[in-house]
Amino acid sequence: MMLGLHLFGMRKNLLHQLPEEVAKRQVNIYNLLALMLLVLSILGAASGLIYGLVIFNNWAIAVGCAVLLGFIFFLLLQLLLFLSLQTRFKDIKSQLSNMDNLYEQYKGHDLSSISDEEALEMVTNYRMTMRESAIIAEPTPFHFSQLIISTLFVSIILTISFLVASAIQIWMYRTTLNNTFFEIKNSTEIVELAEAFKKQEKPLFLEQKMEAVWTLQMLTPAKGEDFKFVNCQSILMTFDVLFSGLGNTKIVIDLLFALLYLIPFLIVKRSEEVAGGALLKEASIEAIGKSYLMFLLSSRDIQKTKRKIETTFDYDKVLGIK
Amino acid sequence: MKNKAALFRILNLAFWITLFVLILFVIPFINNETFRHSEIAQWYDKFDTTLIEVDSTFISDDDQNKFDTLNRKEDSSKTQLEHFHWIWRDYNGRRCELKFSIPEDEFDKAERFRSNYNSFPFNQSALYQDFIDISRGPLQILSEAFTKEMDRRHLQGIDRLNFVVSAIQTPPYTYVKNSGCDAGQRCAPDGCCGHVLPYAVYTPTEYIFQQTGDCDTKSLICYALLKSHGVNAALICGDTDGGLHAMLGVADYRPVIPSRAIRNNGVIFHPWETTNFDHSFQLGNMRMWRIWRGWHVTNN
Repeated sequence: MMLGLHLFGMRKNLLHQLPEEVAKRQVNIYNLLALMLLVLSILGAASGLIYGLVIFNNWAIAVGCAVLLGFIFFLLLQLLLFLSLQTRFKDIKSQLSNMDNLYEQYKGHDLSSISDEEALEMVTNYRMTMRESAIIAEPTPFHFSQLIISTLFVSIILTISFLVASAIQIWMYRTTLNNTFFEIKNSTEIVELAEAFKKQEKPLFLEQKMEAVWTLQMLTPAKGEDFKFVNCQSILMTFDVLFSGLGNTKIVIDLLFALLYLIPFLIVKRSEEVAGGALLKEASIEAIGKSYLMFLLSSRDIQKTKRKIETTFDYDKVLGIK
Repeated sequence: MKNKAALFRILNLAFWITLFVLILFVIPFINNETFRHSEIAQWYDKFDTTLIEVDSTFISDDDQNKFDTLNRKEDSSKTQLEHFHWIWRDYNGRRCELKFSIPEDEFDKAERFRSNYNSFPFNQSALYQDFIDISRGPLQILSEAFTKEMDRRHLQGIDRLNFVVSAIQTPPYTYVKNSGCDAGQRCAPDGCCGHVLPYAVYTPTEYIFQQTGDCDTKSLICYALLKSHGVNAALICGDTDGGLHAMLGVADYRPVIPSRAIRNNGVIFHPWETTNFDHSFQLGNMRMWRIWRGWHVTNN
């Protein structure tokens, strides 16, 4: 199964460069990462379904919300994971971040005469040299931009995890919530306040009375309809009751969800088998090699074209000299 | 290689364990345990129309009911019935009286039950309910006597509640202790009853016979009587500046003196001080206490 490689944009031919055992292990790791990404996206889709059902009380719209939210969460998480995939090998990493170092050595050199085969050989030799690189980069010195980027990443992940956690909690405590809504709907205190508001007996406690009327409205389905998921029309009221009932348990569940969403990023950032892994190293060398080859070929063509212009172009005609 | 793989293995395991732990919350047992219905009670706060800021005004005792009397006539005949004739005044100053008879052996039965009562682990609610259950006979007689008298007087609504509660309030407060009292103090209304074991509370039967009661003894009999009249009453307990205290709670009636109320499952219970007769000790008022903390329904 190559799902992991496809999701993370790794080509199958990269595996041929690795020893069989290492290649197998790397495929396994990326498959597990992909599985995590899929589980998190499915949870995102499930939360879309729950939000859709609570807000619109309609299965068709809810399924639409599930597809939309699942897709958005999948793309966002994939993007963040992809952006976090950075090799730890010092030479490769520094080369990737600044390709000009590599091109500097060809400044003033005549590349117009090199053939495709020669360019390919130069790149292959370079790849061989880079493959020898085994020095792991030291942690980069602190820079303010890193803090902003990390904060942004973590904020996005935590926002997604909180949205998913809240929706899944509604599903988890659905029966309890419905029982509580039943109690609220039949609470003598609320019913009496709502009736007092309708009778308009005294202009006292208007805020409480209006709140009671609104609460009862939210707990009553629209005419000819039944509640599909939780017996409340308001998502905010559902959250309000859920958070009141859960108390600190809500924090525990939210933290567990946050952990669930952060773990794949920790793996990508910290694991020796991903950031320091052979496949990512090979993919990085491949990327450098391609750029290097393109540089050589394009430089050759530029120099050739420039020379041709210098020798064959009729400048007199342009300047109008007869 | 093993060291290289360690972090991945740990984090991978952590991911699936976290997912498994989250799935556990769906299990009904854990689900029910983690959702605290008691916390939902606070959710009703937004509908509270009873919270009135308590000022420091202390309402002093009312001495207008000094001439209240309590007559207990002991029957020397062989019927083994004890005849009671209660006389008191209600909040409107009207003279009230009540006559009823209860078999003498009910007192011994209730006293024996109370002194041998053993509750482990201690459950306050069960204790009060058991005391009511053992006093079922005398309470029924007293309740019927009240009904008869109130019907005769054509009392309706809150007047019926006032009639019952003022009767219990009228005998002066008596200290009920499980330790000894000070020298010279008698176990009589306005006195002190020592060594009332095990929990320093009398059964309703003992109160009917002796008229000696503190906060929980008096509130308990009021609660039992109102319950027998179909009133949504409760025995409520909490903390005051005088220490732990018990009061009667009544729902579905407009408070005569609104102050604070307590809420139980969406039902508002207005407090009613039962320890003494006083014009300020009417339904809804708790301002005789400056501190009002942790009040809750014990029995309902």
